[in-house]
Amino acid sequence: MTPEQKLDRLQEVFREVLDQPDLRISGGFSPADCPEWDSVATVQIVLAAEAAFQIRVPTETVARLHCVQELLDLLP
Amino acid sequence: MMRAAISAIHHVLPSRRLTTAELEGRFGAKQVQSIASLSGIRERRVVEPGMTAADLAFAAADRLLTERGLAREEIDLLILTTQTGDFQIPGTAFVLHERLGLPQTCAAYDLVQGCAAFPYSLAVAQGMFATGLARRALVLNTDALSTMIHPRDRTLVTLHGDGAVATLLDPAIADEGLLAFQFGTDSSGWRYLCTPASGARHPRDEKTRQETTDETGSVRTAEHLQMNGQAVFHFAIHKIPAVVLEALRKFGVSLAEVDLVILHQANRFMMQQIYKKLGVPEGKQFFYLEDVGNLSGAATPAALSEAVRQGRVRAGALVLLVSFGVGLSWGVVLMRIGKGGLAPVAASTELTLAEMTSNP
Repeated sequence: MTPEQKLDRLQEVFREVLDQPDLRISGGFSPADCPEWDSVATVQIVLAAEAAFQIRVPTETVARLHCVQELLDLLP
Repeated sequence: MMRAAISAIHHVLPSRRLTTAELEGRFGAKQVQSIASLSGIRERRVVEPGMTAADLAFAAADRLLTERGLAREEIDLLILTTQTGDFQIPGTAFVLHERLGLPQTCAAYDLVQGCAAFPYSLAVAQGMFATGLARRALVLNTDALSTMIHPRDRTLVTLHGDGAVATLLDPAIADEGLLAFQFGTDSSGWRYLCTPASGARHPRDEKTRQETTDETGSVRTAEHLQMNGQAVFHFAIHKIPAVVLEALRKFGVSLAEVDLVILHQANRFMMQQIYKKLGVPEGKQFFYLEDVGNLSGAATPAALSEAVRQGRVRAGALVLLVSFGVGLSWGVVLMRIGKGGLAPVAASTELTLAEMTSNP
């Protein structure tokens, strides 16, 4: 996967979890940019990303996750 | 080796109900619904000022012992677990030893654990049965976390309730009783559930009383319970299924042989994910949090008590109980219900302020 493809796939995850079909994300996208991205959404985003990319996000990363780039860095 | 068996169990909740409608007024409907949609919790039971976790435990134990007509002189072990004791010194077990009128020949102590308190306390009691130090034990698991949560901490207020469970243990007959245990700890996560200024490490002062507001609008101080919910949730969903499978392998038991699987009642979505990963069919699942909230260390025994009340625990049933949380830690216990069954205690499961007696 190219970096663009990873971002596109992750964007699909965010759109589905946050129920915002037109949402556009970047590496710097954070909860401050989206009121719906709360701790509950974080859990759902991580679980959906783990399923979509067949990865396991470390719990310590989940604990302090506050922007998209932290997830992108974990993608194979 | 003598093993112990549960011969009676009873739980008590405070009568005060904290409804989702009330919380929507405090936090906003959208925010509360977001959490409720995952947690499945519609209502919580919380203590009123003047009522403590010890009061709930006293009511649970007193009602159980009174209804069964048990001689208190025969109880030789009292184990109490709580994170919200009446005093730092002495332990709450001593207070309840007096209130319950237990004899001087009865050993009593607190066991500090957390959400996994029930399996730990059962295992410690079983150890004292095995060494001949106990023949009739009372295990009390009680928590009133609502008293440690800032009223404007949206995440914690919406999830937690208060409650207590009294469990009576007697010597097991044949292949019944507490059969096997499995425990574990991932201490890298102890900070994820922590009250920073609650002991010697950070003495309380003006600074620890200062309120802070996080990016979601939740308010707390260093003297209140703090939880990194996303980390705890992630830990539970990934770690607990593996723990259960390993425990079953160690116990030499298949999931097909187990009649009921009771999980820590923290969050409905979390529990559904764990059940799904394990392949536990609906008929073997049990939920007891929608109308009471997460009762922390009392959650799993309260679920067992409620399952007994609902007739979900048949005579001879094999029950697997899985508790996890604070620590981060976990405990698994496999038990065989006696052939005579486990009759529910008919007494009320509610405690009102007016019903409180012998408060020290």
